[in-house]
Amino acid sequence: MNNSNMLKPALIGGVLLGILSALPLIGSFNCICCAWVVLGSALAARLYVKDSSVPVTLGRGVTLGLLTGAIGTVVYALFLIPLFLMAGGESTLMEQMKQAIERVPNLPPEMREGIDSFISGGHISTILYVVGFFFRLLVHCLVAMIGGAIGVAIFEKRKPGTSEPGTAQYQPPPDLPPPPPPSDTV
Amino acid sequence: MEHPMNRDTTSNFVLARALTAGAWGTLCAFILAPPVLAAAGWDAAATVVYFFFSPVCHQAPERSFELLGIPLAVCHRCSGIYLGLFLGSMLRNPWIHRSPAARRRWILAAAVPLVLDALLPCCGLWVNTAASRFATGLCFGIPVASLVVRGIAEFLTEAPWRRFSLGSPRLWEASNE
Repeated sequence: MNNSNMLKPALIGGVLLGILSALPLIGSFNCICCAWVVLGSALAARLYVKDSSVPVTLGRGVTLGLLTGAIGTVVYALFLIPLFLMAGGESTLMEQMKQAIERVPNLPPEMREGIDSFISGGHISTILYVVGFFFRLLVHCLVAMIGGAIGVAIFEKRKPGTSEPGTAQYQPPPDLPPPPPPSDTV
Repeated sequence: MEHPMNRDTTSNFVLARALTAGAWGTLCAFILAPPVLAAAGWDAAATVVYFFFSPVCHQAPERSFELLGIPLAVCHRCSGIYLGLFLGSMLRNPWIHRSPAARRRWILAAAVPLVLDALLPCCGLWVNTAASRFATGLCFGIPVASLVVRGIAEFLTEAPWRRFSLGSPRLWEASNE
């Protein structure tokens, strides 16, 4: 497997995925079936299929998706740091946590207050950031594998076992002398 | 020379199917977890599960199934997709992989209803319901799971890590240069 050729499309798809997922309003499109993750990994698959001289298999598409998802999550985490600092410490993670609290019905008021004060504490946003990073890494990699497989399924039109025109099989030169007859001695 | 796909192909497919079914089955269980946890009094755990699914779903209560009167962790559409991925990873779909063209047709046929069901209401041309959102998600997840299972099986067969394992001829040649 030519993993070095996978790196460039994975980087392009991953960086796009990470940046779009981190932007404040645009990133919310991920709520629609992880749209940016699927599109980022499908784009990586498209670039890989275009540059590959042999038909790309689903296995490579899944590997490429995995790589794209991992790169995208790292880019997302790095991009989130300046956004978090610009927002003055209040992050989307805190808002998501507060919304998650609102979704649990019949939550006792004292527990609601306790969780509210806990997540408003100094270091909880860092803990949420780290834990959320690992969960997002898992989900992004799983979904990006799907995107990579879908990308290969849609964009790869060559049948397995075929090669590009111009990459013909080796043919010996016509003026090559014939091989000597087999010897009778051992 | 034996084609690498013939070697251990069956066992790799079984392993790939088990891995994907396990992964999607676990996610389906997590989707059902918040109502059960909240009903049992484990509200903090339910909150954590909602939080973990918040990046991947809007979790609107009016667009989510309910269990014990409490919304699930994801919406109707996502519930259908995850369930479809779980069911599809256990089904054999050889007709999808007859050719690259057949594969493309199946995936587009699965994706187009999902996209239309999501986008047409924005134009006022269609009103989606819980049933349409769940059904289009389910119909998308099943063939896509087949792609992922086959992809993982091919990945296990190609086994790129074997080229760099200890004792491999490639590593031996490199160390003797």
